[in-house]
Amino acid sequence: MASARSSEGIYVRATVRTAVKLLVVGHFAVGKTTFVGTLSEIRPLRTEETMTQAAEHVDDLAGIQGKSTTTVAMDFGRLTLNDQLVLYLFGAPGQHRFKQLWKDIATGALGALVLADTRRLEESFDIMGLLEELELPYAVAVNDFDGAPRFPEPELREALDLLPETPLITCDARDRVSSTHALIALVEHLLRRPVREYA
Amino acid sequence: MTEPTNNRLGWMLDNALQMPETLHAILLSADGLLMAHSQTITRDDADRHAAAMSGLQALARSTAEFCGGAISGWQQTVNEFAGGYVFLVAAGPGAYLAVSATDRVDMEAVSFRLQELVQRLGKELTSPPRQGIGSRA
Repeated sequence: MASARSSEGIYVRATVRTAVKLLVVGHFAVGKTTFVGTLSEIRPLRTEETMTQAAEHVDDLAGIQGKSTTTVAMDFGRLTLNDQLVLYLFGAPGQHRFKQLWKDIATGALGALVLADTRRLEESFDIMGLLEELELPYAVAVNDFDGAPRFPEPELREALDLLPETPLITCDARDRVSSTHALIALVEHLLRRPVREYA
Repeated sequence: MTEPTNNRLGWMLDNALQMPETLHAILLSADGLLMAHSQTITRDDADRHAAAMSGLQALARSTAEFCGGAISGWQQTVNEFAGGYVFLVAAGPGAYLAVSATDRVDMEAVSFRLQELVQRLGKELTSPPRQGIGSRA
């Protein structure tokens, strides 16, 4: 497998040729926990806590119904894509107050899937900025919420200010097939990148 | 299925579980991937356990500043539950050892045993940075 980007603390044994660590990121309430839970072949790790009144004015729930918990540490799931490739999915919390943890979870990851919501696209900029700071390649998957507006791809690309080579996919985080396609788009993007990018 | 981790070290972990009242032992990398596990825990559960411990370690480390300590000074994290404990200790650069036990375990003995194991296994229990990835083109 391709090597992860360099920094201290990347420790995958040399014998591990087929395990790829990927991040699943995105802003608050975009569906990261759902996404990891949908795809994981093992019981996923979840660290959800009930949302409290303390964060009422910080974590904006406008337009989001039925959400009562939020991830405070991380999500984890595993997906065997084929005989050669096992994906380890690490979901990081969306709120800015978890930024340091987010960076720690990113250690050793090869790339990231950024989940986005068309009702609050502007909230994805912070996330993408952080990934660029970490020099972590990413793909963007718009989570197709019921009732959320749909836009043509060129408009979405412009709104998100994506580079031409950055994959943009639409998926339904509740749907296994659709979510798998989003991950495959990311993996293909990572494989297309010149090896020297990682070397 | 594929076996991304090398469980050659598993026997060392099994050895550590000879202490009474210990349950599982896993070895994980700093970035949350399983490196080895004892026979008492399945691979699937061990994968999830490893990911959780890496997150816990990252969070624990981030609280060092509140006791005036250096960020790099993290030694161990002990989780106590009504029915048992999970111990997490550094096992050399880039590797952590997690051992779970019932609430009847001898805390002092297990702490000592973990340190002894880490010392004795030395090089075997570390996961040094991979070679050839040190410079970005």
